[in-house]
Amino acid sequence: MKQMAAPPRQRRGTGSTSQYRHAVVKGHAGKRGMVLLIITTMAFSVFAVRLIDLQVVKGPDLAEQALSQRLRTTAIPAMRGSILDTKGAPLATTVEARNVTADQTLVTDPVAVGAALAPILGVEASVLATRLTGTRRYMFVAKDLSPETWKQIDALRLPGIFSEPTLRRIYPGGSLAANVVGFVGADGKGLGGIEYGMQDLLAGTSGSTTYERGPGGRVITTGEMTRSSAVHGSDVQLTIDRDIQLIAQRQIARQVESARADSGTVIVMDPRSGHILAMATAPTFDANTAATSPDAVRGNRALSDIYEPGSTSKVMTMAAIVDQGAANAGSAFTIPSTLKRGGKVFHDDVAHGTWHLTLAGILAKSSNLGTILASERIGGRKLYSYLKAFGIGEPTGIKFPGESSGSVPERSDWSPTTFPTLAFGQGLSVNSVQAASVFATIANDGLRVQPTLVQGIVNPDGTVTPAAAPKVTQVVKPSTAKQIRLMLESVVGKHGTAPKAAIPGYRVGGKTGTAQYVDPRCGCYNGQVVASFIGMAPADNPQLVVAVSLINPRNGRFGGQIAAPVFKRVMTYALQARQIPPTGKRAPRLLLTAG
Amino acid sequence: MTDTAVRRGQRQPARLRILLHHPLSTYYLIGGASVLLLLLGLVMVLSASSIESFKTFGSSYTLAGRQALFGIGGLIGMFFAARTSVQFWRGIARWLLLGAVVLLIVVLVVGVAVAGQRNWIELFGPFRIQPSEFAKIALVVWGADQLAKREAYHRSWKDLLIPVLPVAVLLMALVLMEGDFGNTLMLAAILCGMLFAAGVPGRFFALFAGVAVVGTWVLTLAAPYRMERITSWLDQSSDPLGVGWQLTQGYYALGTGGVLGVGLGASREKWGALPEAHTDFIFTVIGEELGLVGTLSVLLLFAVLAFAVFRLSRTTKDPFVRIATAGVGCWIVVQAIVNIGGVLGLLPITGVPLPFVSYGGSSLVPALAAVGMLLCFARNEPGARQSLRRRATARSLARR
Repeated sequence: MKQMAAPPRQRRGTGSTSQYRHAVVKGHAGKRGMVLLIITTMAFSVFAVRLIDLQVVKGPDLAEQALSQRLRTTAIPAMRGSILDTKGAPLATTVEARNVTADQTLVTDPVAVGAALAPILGVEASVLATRLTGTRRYMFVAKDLSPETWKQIDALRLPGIFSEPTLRRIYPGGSLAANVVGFVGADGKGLGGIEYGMQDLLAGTSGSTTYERGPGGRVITTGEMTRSSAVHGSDVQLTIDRDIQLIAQRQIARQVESARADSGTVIVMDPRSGHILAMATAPTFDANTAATSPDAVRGNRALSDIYEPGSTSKVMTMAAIVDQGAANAGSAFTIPSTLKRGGKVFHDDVAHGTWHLTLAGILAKSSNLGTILASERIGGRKLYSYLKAFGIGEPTGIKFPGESSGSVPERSDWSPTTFPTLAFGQGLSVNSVQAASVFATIANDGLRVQPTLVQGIVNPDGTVTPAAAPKVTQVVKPSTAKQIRLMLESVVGKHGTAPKAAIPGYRVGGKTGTAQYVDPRCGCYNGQVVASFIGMAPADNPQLVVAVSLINPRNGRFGGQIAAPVFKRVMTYALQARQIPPTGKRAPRLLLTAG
Repeated sequence: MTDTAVRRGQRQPARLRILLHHPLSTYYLIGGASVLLLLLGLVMVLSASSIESFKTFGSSYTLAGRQALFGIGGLIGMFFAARTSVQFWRGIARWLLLGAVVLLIVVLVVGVAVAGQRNWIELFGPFRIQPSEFAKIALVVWGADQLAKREAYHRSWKDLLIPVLPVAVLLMALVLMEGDFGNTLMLAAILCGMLFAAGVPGRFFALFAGVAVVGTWVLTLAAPYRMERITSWLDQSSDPLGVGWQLTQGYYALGTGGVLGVGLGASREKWGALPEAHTDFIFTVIGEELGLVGTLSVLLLFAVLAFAVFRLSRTTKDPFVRIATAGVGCWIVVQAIVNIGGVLGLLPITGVPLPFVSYGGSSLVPALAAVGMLLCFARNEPGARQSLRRRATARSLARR
């Protein structure tokens, strides 16, 4: 009722006191409404100035700070290049793999999840359960799984279990050429062999993605995004032939075991191209599990171990003598039972009376004294320059990590016994590749082609960059090489030191070596030897050189006995694999004895 | 040639002046500015809430859909409010006040705490109301009614203060007990606006300001989070992860927006860095997406609204209309100033939403209802009523 009464009262007011209200209140109200508007306008003007300050004057700075708060960069890994054999078969390659991760806060039942994962991962359920328990948002459960294994896990739809893609280095052949190819560490970087030596080329350059993200990690889809793609690594193609490598590795491993040797190597070389077709080492390791293998088996002994070549070195001495015209295969020598040079008495491996041998006979019987006598016809200075020309004491040119070049004593360091000692292959040191290269030079008509292990580079764009042409030097005349090859054939003959190296149907030439070996523990000679055999086939048109060496064999001693059979088997296989036919001719008989 | 250009230049303001002096201009300016702010708000809520909404509900449209419902509800309320009469508002004044007091007491008992403030009453589903928002419109209508009545027969301004001042203080006390400092401030603004329009002299406001400063100081000492807000406002490096963080992210948003903005929907700060992007800090998201152009447009819309509202208060002959309009005007303008001033770092952050724009039905619906009331006042002004009547006649003649 009172409410109804209000309007009339107001109407009455409008009537009687309208003069009063108009004079005081209305005028007041008009001014006051203006005051409110002015205050509002002032406040808004201040805001407008502040907005111009924040959005225009300080705008770019604030925007930059805001951007740096949001920008994140993640790497895009570059795919590491493969290491291929000469036919393109992979010896090392990179595949996509999965790391399984867990957000522990999302795993509601660690025991059950662990039990579900255990049979797939092959890890104890209790071990997995501990990895799944806790408050960590990011925890590795398993690394480097195949995509198929991850699919199995993903199908279980376990809460809190995630995966991230990763790259994994695999070696399909396991130990196949492992000492050449090398291996990578946990970070995927090469730690040995070609993997280490050509790391930069194989690794490529990783790219990156830069994007904006919110504090929760969500990618801001409307934000900036820049990508620089990864440049994948190049493939390295080796001259190694996987098939020949496999046989070489098997044969040397078997012989190292049966001869109870410390180690052994086999080199198979194409003498005309200088390509190394196989470089086998025993004992070896599986590159997939390199981390668990001892250091001693992971290196490449064919290039890193040096030894005194012994009798195989006589090939160089003979080639020098023949090349200088000082003697030929038929030249006769009278060899006493002992020889005194430089105050030291030298003798042969087998005790004998006075021998009458041709130069070919000296090589066939591997007479140290005969070699000394023959070499005296050219002198030490000539011999030294021939040794250097054959590549002794020089790097092989392969540029393999850990390579040792061996050595020949400088002329100025020579003692009176140096020259006779060098003539029969002691007092200088070589690695297996250098030793093989000497025979490759004889096989290739005296033309030395620098050994090559890397055939070419397959660039990320698919183009191929072949390896630089190898250095080529004419060390001895072709006629000299031919004569030496004939002499080498007699070594493999009935009266030579290595009939076991003979291959039916093929003409084979080679040389045994049984050199004294410096025991690395005392740095002295104490009966240890290096048993070796290096040969070529077909001897009248050589297309392959095989070098076998065994260090410190305890069961057997002579190269002709323990190294020659390995040579024979590897060479037989390699001739077939390379489809090299026999030349069909018979070896001419050289006179070995004179008088 | 230059002649026509000059003339055209002169004609434009002349035409504008004619438009502004049209009897219905106040009506259209208030309605137009409010609806434009509401529409801009809907678009910006959709953008600013999309990430938060997707994270919480699995759909980017859930929060925006609710806001659209609130907006439609508010517009319907505004439409009906505009169709009522001045007498209607004066008639329901006491019931509005009674309802507000009851709700404010109920919320103290059954209220739900959201973000540290126990000031929500749960309704069905996701809907809930905030009685303190309702209290604002109640104070406007009841206070204006009381002040208008008293103004008619009391000579001394001190008579005006009873009973409006004690009731307003009661309402403020109840709202403050809920922990809603922002709306306490808004009630104070409404009270001041109405007393100012009723002709209470300046020295009273000086006294009131003194009380407010001391009161704020006491309240700040009483609640540590308020102290934090003040210190972080005064020294923004003091709390880089709390309120300072929020303020900094707001600056980042404004700076990133620059003059033209990064484009509608393209805000980066809404992706989790900026807390309350779709509510208290929506102004900075506008600044980021629409740039200085967008933020100045919002200021301009509020300025137009203020211009029209205060002009209505100034020119009306009805004291109730004058005082109620001044109350609503102060409510909307002060709330906008406190919100924008807060995100710009010029005032402490008090957690009040930006009227018509921020997400939230319980602030949007009363604000639109209040605008509806102003529209009702504007169309009932003598000139406007004449103009409307003339228009209706012309329309019915045309129909014949």
